[in-house]
Amino acid sequence: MDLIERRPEGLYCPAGDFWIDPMRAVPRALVTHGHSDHAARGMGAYLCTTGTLPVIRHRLGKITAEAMAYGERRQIGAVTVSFHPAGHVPGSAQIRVERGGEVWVAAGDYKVEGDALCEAFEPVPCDTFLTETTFGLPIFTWAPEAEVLTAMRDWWAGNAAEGVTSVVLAYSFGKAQRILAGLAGLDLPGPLACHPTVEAVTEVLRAAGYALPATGEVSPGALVIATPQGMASDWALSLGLHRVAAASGWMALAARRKGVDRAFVLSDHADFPGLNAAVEATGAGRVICLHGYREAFALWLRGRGYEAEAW
Amino acid sequence: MEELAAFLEGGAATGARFAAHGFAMPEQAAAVLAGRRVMGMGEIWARASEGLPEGVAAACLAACGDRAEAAALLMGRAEGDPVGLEEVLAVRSEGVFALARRMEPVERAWFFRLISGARRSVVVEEAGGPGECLAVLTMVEGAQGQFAVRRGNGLVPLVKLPLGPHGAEVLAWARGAVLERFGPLRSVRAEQVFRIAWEAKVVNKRRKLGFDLVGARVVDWERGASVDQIAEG
Ligand SMILES: [Zn+2]
Ligand SMILES: [Zn+2]
Repeated sequence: MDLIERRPEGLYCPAGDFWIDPMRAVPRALVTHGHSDHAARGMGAYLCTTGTLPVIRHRLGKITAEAMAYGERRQIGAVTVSFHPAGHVPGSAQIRVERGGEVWVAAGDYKVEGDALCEAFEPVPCDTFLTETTFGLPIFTWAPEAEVLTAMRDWWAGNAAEGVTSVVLAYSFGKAQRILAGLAGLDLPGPLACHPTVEAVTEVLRAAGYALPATGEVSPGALVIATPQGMASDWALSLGLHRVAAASGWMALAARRKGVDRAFVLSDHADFPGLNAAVEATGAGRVICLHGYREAFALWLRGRGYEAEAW
Repeated sequence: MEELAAFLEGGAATGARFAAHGFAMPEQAAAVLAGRRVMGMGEIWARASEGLPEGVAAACLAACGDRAEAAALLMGRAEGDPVGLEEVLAVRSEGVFALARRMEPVERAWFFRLISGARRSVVVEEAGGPGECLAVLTMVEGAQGQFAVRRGNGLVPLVKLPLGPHGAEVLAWARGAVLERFGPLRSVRAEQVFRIAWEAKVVNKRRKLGFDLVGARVVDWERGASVDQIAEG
């Protein structure tokens, strides 16, 4: 019997009778990280890392939830589970499931390159690796983060010199704070600020002990992190003269760069070389591809001698 | 090289546009264009996707929707020194990939279009030289304004531009004059008149007016002027 199987609700571990990142209401959910496509509402009980807990409480309100530290082991039914850093967003984890010497790892979303905020990705040896493949095509290769953040700082400096505010569109959890933390290490041309939705999440992470720079009111020449929804609201009227940039892995594609003044290719997911490196580092012979370009990446892996399939 | 990319991104080629991007002479433009058939796009794609399983290459193409872009991205990040315009002008087919490898993917995609002739609109088609006119501000987005001229009783868009020297004041006015908004784009009461100048007009059939302005800028905010004085398009 497979340790993890595909169910309509999400990934299911029959030997432990729990689900991983389910999208429909189930009694027991192990959650890899706080993004809404992994931590959904309505579960009987949640189990996640200590870094993820405050984020899902902030998003989901009153829930029954328990947290574990990275590396801590717990027996659930016939299996032993543990959480290991995934380098995707603060608190994000790969979930290791073991029974009688057989090991499966469900990686959730992950990023191999380190950043100034997240716990660094840790390769976990296993027999079967469930990998995400959001950017599982060889057209996706990221520049080092330092290069992208320096380019962002330079764009901001140019805007600030004209008295124009710089707006960077980013996910409110993870990407936004990673940019704040990354920029904080550089010589900055002005103050940092956030849209209220972003600020609320940033505050949750500060309270959880993540080191993040101070953010203040929007002022001319500031760099403001906002969500696309925020920019479509009346809040955007208060920005004054501004230019808009987007920060995402999707900015690698010309079609996605339309409608912004500047695009920064900055992803919280592994690029193609990163996915390959992660797969290799696990030593797994069987790989299951989830999300994004899973068919193409499974095809690629089969060509390299892996037993690979797309779920 | 950045200039070449910015130039190509901007639309149809004209002598004025070449000059504005640091290409000294339209003759240089002609030289770039003359060298553009050194390699077909089919060959470029075959080289760039070599060794990939067919399904993976097809998925890359589908993601980009464009062989030049997919080929450019497949070659990865730039390596080595940036490419000079002289090298682009001197390129011959045997050196194309070595040269392309030193370009950033965005520049490389434009380079592939250029050398394969896939960018048909890189054609010198000029509709007029420098000029200026009065236009009315109709919309504001970020630091940019949409300006329009008159046609009959209505208005037709002329150009979208940075708000210019009086940007902050214009925006302060616009905040009290918002009519409706569609996301970040705000339409404002069409009552403020500006003097717009440009370097050249180039044919663009997708525009209501039938042309784009090249090197356009806001010269001044004509606070006393009325909308009746704006240009007829
Ligand atoms: Zn995620
Ligand atoms: Zn995800």
